[in-house]
Amino acid sequence: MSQTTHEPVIDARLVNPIIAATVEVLGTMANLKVALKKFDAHTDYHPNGDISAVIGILGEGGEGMIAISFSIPLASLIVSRLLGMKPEHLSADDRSDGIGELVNMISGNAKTALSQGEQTPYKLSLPTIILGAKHEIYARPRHVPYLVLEFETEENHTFNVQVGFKSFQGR
Amino acid sequence: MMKILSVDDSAIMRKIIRGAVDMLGLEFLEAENGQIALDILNRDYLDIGLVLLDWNMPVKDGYETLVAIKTDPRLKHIPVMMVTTEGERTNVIRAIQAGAQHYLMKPFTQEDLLKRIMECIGTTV
Repeated sequence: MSQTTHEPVIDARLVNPIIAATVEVLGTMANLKVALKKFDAHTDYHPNGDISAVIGILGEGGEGMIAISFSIPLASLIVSRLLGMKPEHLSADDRSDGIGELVNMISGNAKTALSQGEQTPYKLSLPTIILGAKHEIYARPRHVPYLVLEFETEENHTFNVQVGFKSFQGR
Repeated sequence: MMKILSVDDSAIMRKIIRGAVDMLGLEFLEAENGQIALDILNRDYLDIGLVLLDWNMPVKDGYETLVAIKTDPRLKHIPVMMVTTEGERTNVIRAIQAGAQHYLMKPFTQEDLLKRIMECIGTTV
């Protein structure tokens, strides 16, 4: 089945690097084994978490958004492992900053993959942190399907990575 | 005591790097962007033995800071290691050509970081 170039699609070059980077970043920096549990495409998705880190990616070929959403306990566990300290000793600023750095590292891999063959490499925005139960993420690109990747830790905690991309081809 | 300057807009990454610098018994300095780093370097350049530089930062990014260091006669002898998620091949080459001594990609293990720091300062101690 072919797709017309003006239809909004999720660029396949983004997805596999994001899955691989999520596993690698959490394994390497936080000593936490995670695996992809399931994935689905959504057009109206609300993150299932208390804290999200969002980063934008922009290049001549298109624009996108990558977000990672955790429960507060899981975010605290991960960031405390980054720092080698107990979760109860973690400050709220550390937790937010740590989640921002995670999405930065994961997105960096995606940016590298997406930039291959491009004359001008894609650029990442600085990460933004959103806090609050049942929060929503309003970010560009709008009105495109978002791929939601659900990961599971060894202790059966889940978290989501949300990816959206809009190609400029055919614009 | 030799000082190590970590330049990264992420406070958490500076704390991670501080943990490694503390393990080596060296003094730790930090800056959240390249402009602040240059201010510190201009003040303390005689004592700073290594600069660890992120790429993607506000105000002045890591590449601009690297070029500023390597074109300043007072600073250019200081080794610089890029510590970054920036993996685009052309940018890695640009950084090496501009004078970066090492290029460490995030994510990294603490062992990786310690080893690279030792390699960098080993040439200047």
